[in-house]
Amino acid sequence: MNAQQPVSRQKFLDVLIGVGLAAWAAAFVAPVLTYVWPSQRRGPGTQTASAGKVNEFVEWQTKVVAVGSHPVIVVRTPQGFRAYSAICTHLGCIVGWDVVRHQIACPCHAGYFDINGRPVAGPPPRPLAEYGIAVVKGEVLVKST
Amino acid sequence: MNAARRIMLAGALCWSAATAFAADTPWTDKCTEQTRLFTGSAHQAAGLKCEDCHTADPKTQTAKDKQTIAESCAKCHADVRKMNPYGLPTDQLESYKTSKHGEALFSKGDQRVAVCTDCHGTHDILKVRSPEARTHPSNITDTCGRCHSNEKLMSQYKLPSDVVAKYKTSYHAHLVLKKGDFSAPTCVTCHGNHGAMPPGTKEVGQVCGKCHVRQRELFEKSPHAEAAAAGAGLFSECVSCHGNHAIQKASPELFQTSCIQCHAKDPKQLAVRTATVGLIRAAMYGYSQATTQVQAATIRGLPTDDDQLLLQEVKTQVTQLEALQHTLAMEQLKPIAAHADDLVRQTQADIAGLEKLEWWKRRGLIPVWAFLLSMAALFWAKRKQLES
Amino acid sequence: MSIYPKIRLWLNDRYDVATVEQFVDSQIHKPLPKETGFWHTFGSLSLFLFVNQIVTGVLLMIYYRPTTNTAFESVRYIMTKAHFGWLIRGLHAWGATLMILCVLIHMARTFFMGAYKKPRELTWVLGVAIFGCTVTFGFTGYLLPWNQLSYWATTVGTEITGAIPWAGQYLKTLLRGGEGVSGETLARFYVLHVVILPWALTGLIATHLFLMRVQGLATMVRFGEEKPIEKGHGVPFFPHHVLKEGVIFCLLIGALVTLIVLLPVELGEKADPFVTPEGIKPEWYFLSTYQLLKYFPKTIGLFVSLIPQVLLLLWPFIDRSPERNPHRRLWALGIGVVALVAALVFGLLGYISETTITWRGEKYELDVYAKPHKVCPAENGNAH
Ligand code: HEM
Ligand code: FES
Repeated sequence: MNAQQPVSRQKFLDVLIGVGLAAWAAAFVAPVLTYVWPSQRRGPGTQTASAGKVNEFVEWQTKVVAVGSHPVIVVRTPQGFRAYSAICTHLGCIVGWDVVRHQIACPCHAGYFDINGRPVAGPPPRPLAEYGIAVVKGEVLVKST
Repeated sequence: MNAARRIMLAGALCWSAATAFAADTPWTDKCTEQTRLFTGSAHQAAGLKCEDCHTADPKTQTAKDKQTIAESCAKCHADVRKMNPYGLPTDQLESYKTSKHGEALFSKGDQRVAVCTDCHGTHDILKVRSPEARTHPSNITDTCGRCHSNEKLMSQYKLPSDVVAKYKTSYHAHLVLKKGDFSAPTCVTCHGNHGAMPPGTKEVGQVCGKCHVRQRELFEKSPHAEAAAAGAGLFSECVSCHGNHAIQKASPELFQTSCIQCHAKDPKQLAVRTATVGLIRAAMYGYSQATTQVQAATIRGLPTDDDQLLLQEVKTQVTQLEALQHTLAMEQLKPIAAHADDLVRQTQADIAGLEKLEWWKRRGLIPVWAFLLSMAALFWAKRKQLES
Repeated sequence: MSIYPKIRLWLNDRYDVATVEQFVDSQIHKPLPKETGFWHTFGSLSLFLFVNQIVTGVLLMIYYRPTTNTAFESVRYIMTKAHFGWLIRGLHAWGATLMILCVLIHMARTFFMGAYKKPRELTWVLGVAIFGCTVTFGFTGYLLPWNQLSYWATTVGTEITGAIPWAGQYLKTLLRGGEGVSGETLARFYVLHVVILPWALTGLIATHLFLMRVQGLATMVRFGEEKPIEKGHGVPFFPHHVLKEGVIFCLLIGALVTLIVLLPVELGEKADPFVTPEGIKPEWYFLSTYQLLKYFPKTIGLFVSLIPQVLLLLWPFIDRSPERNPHRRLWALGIGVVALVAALVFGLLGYISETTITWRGEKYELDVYAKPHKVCPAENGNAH
């Protein structure tokens, strides 16, 4: 039998196996390389989010941004940026900004927080948790502390 | 220690305790239960002595009537100069006189009503903020209940005797007594303390509105507010729907039981109710559905950060609806409900997208297996070839 | 291709390349006995899975952070943010399960084929140590994601060491790094999992393989009557046997990927020391021991569960007959089968304990001993 077996068929099998193994190696290396490549600029340690450029904020302008899965309200005061958890300490509604009162306002039961996050009116029992702010190269970064 | 020495020691202790309070009044240096009670009280801390209240030996004195008690407390407690250092108000007697208790005592001489000592105690008076005080939020209900749960006594005034028991079933009581949340109301928060008086039909809204500011504000804009203003017991603001002492956490169920009390034969109004409760129920249902879905996806390890944010938004809408329905204004409710609905849909679509990705992964198994099986076949063929 | 001779020349100027080449060549083409079949591939499958654990484990370490505040979050990051993180974690977690399975099958194979007998007793003892290491790998790794299941399974698991007389409490404290399972435990388990155990296991496996190569694979021939394989009579390790292994590898990898996709490893909920979930159970390979422990008082249970392990370790010195063929070793065969069935039964009892099942339209609640209690429809939710 051995003698009759065409050499080309034997070669063909070897080539197929070779190609298969190469494909296999590639299929292994590709996911590993993408895995190792950072998927975002910051790793799993600190939760940081950008609230946009400094010049997108005029004084007393606010914005709600997501840090991980947590909404955070960023305010530009004349003294600089402040950031607070945007989850009302009463029943957990997302707070907004009251332009007239210059206070953080909760739409649900008219709870108000002053610019230090302290409750000043309505039912909220506790202050809002403060978040850290860093302005890096004109970008406003919010980070959980 | 022998008995004689023990008695001597006890005597010495009592004596020194008694003399600490009473300098030279002869009747006070008897060893008494009162001395023991007085120890640790607010009045002892303030440096008061027995004779500051007891002008003569209590044993020989005739029992005081309650009016005299109130006035004797007021000797100090209505004196601004004396109370100022302690930051205490001085209007207790004045407001007491305006209360139902005070009215009965001062105009009818009714000795059964509560006077200062009935709530505050006598020798062992404590500051309201000390947890053992009869007047502390966690004890005040029982203090009021000493009389107001007494059926025999209350029937003489044609008052119900189940108010305290009812209150104890309420959500407010749950907060105060179980959760230790003393910002929730006890008897005195609504009825007042010294000026104790039931709030009238008209004032009830004000009383509840002290805490439930937003709901009150919204209610004022509703047609119900006019009915309440019309008076004549037609509509008693909050109480008509929520009840009073046994108040429970509000839920959509309330619409089923309360509206029909007035509108049973009023299909037009009932339709408004049905529409309102429908909106709220739908929003709540959507929220709970989406929450379950997001939770399950999170536990499985799918990336749900954005969906959790969306859920928070939905929750905000639902909570707003609950407050906003006090206006009975469908045109205000509808956009919020629609927004909630949108957000729920968005969340569900997002989760469905994640699921789709999972579906693709499962699909990917087919080519993977095809590849692996053909490799296995190749290896097998090669081996056969080598063996032959 | 053409570059190899140059490199070889360069090396040959400095080292004795020919001897090395000869050695490698003889190892690669080493003839195996004719009887070498599919059951013989489970050793290499275990080895392959070990390499898989090392590679994926190292990859996981890139993003994993072993503190109570970050462990769960970093595994979530791996699952949701890192590209193909789900695949890497899946390979590692399911690879662990398959590795233990392969090691078990490998052990059963050598047991039933009498391969542990003279002169290969030490290979068997090393194998038992390898199995112990593998299981410890699983136990320490299970805590690392710091979710409710892992936290509580570890709490229960380490609690058991407390039952050891006299030294139990000290051992427990040592293991946990304190009173309860905490960040200290996490750090200890992490060090065991990624530093101590990998090196220990590498050493053990290397020695195990070395002995296997030096002594050759066992056949069914009684000891003392074995003869070296005659030239041209064996099956060359490469390429013949490797091709056979290649076929099995393909199936194993298919199974691995299928498991990862169809039964993904969950992230779970973050560990909460104040909320005990219901029906905490260990990983499947601890289930039978865990269940066995329940039927005995603490300390006695510990000794009872130790008996099979000691037996396993010392088995080659207990069964010293020269016979390898299972048909002529009915006694050992019987013990092996009984042990397997017992492990299966206890494992199954452990699996179904503390659950509710429906049998012929009737609902039963199974207690911790897996004893059924009928649930009467009238008093639903009540046992008895
Ligand atoms: C020697 C190299 C190894 C390294 C560097 C390593 C590293 C790691 C790391 C960093 C984790 C945490 C990430 C995660 O939980 O998914 C982990 C988890 C785990 N490891 Fe390993 N590991 C190795 C070997 C093994 C072996 C040999 C086994 C078992 C036979 C094993 C079983 C596990 C298990 C069961 C988990 C938990 C899997 C999960 O729930 O995700 N590991 N390992
Ligand atoms: S939820 Fe913000 S005030 Fe009620």
